[in-house]
Amino acid sequence: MNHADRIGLLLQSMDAENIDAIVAFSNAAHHVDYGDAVALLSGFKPLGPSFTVLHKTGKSMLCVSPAWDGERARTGARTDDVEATDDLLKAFAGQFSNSSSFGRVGTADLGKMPHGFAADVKRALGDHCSKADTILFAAAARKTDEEIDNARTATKIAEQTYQYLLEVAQPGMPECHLAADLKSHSRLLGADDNFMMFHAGNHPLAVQPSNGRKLEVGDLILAEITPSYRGQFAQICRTACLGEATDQQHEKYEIVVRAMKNGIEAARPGVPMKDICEGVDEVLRAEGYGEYCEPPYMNRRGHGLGITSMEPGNVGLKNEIILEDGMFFVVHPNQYIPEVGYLLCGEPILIRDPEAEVLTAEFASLGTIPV
Amino acid sequence: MQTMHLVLPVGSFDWHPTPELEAESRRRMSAVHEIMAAKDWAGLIVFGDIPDPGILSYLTNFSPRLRAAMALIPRDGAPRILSFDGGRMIPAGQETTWVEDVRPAAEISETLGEWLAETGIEGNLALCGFQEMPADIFENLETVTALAGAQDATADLRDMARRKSPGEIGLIRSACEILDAACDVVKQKHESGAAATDCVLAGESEARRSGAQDARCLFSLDGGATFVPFQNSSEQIVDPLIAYLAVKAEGYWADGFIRVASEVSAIEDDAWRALRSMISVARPGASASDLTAAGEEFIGTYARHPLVGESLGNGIGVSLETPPTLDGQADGSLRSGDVVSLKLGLGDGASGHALVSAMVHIGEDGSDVLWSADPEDNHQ
Repeated sequence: MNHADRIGLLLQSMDAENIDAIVAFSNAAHHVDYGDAVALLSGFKPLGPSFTVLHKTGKSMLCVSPAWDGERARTGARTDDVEATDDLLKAFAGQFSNSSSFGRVGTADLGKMPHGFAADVKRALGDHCSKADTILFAAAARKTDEEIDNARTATKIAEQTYQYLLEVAQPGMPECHLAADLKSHSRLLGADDNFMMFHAGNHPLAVQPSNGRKLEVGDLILAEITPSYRGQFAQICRTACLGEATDQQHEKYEIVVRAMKNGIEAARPGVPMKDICEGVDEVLRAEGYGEYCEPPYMNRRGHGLGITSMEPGNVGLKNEIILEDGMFFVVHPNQYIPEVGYLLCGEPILIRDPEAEVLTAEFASLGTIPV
Repeated sequence: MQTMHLVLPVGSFDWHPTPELEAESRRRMSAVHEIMAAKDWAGLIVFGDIPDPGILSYLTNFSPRLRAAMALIPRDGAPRILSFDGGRMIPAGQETTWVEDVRPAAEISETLGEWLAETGIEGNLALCGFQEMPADIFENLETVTALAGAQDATADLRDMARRKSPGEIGLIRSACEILDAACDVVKQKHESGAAATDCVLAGESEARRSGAQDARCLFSLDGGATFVPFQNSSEQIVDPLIAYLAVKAEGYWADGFIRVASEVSAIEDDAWRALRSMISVARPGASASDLTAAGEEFIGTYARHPLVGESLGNGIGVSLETPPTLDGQADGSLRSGDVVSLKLGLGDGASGHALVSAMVHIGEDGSDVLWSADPEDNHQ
């Protein structure tokens, strides 16, 4: 599938929903948990607040801010027209000065824009406006061939960044400094961004943003390494011990990895996402950790990876979305085990027929950092 | 200067309770309480969001890194922070602030309602930063009746934050040192023959290694005509390399332009002469027009660069852009205590391009350059 195919799917959805035009917004406050509606529709990752319009005829336009970013947009966007402005609301008003001529307009991610701006947009669109977030992001549930290639590169960068972590982590290092070093390293490897969630402790309770705590011998280092390559995120989740891990830590980590593999084995076209979660839970429950498969210990066993869309959503027991060829997401048990603490393992997987493809070269194993 | 937002800033955000910082935070809260008393505000709600939490961080040091947050400040009593992060993220957020009461925002109308009930506040509320609140969050507050009629405190608090204390100047100087170190690395990499993307990334890395909480860059691959954020590695070597770097350290931003090249440039020389003239007249009361007039002789007939346009920069501090905005519009005069990032951009296809800048502290009697890439400046 390519970008044009995706737009074609979206146009079909618009036709089914009787929507004449979709206008997608971005506040450019990029976030790993959300897709970017402008990037999805235009193929361009915005630097400032922006919007893009797709008409039912297939004609599209992108409006970026600030105005000086126009040249980059003209080079990179896949829309028919590009406008650049220092006044986004004025530019929007210019596009929709005669809103009724657009017919029924669906908006996406208007809720992420400042509330005053959103109110002005709704006023301009009047009664012809409805929410189109769901159909927009659903259209990008399957990745394009280009996004899949980028995901493969992002995955390589993630694994190389993890190897770098094993080489450089030492006792006495502030956690946040090491996280910053890893982020820099992944950028030097070509990642345009990296959601680098990194935390350590001798009995970690969760993974969380880094703080100033200094690494100590015996720490379990938890790393969610999530580089983005040309706008496509991939994620690996790894755990390494600073010094020799105990036999118990090895034993428990093997259980979590086995749970992950059991979940991945369930991943194939035609099955609901929840089957993967059930596959992970099955192993952990059998080992006596059923209580820890529920909130507050467990939220989700993985999730989609943007920047375009987070579909097919969370790897969770309530997710009935049927997996299709081309869907891409991370499966990460990321489990609290009372004897040893929180353990991370996770692999990015691509749904293929007849079985999922794991993009990493090697499955997670409990790393050891010599001290 | 708008740059590409990177997900999840990594760096040292912890609240370091040195005596100086504790004194600074007490000073700020005292100032806030004075304003609240003067304006008869029973409570103040300060909203802050990624990428720029602004006054929220200024008052509490709390740095939202994943989702927005609010500080709830009663006129009497301890403040509370509501974080839109999930419950498991609260401990990490707690470590970034002196505020003891940090809890999940959860259903914000309910948690805000709880606070109002506990404090007995029924009205006379003031709000800060709400203009930037996303519509999705704002809609969830519509049932909180105490917010109806609330006053906008944003301008008052930004005004309060505008005059930098000696402690803040010290923090900004530290950020400038990191900026300087980053720029030195960019220069060294360029002189070694590295590609443009390698140069700017090396500068960013140096900034993070030196303790920056955030580091941003823009650079030009076409001699300064257009600027881009880092998108992917390239082998392209450029000369000149013109780049914009911004670093945030201990909550304060420092930013600036650098140019590294094998040859001098007449337009660059003129731009620096113009900026130096502007700095010489930068004192309390000076406006953007005054600064422009001071540099007019050297600006001459050059076109203004689209990256900054007619603007001469802005205030800088906990946000990359704060009052005053030096573009000839309202609120554009300098005041004692301001720290401004003065910027001048000149050029067109024929003359080449020049972007120059300086971080300047406006004192009672004049100005003090905190950072500049001026080849004739030895401010450090």
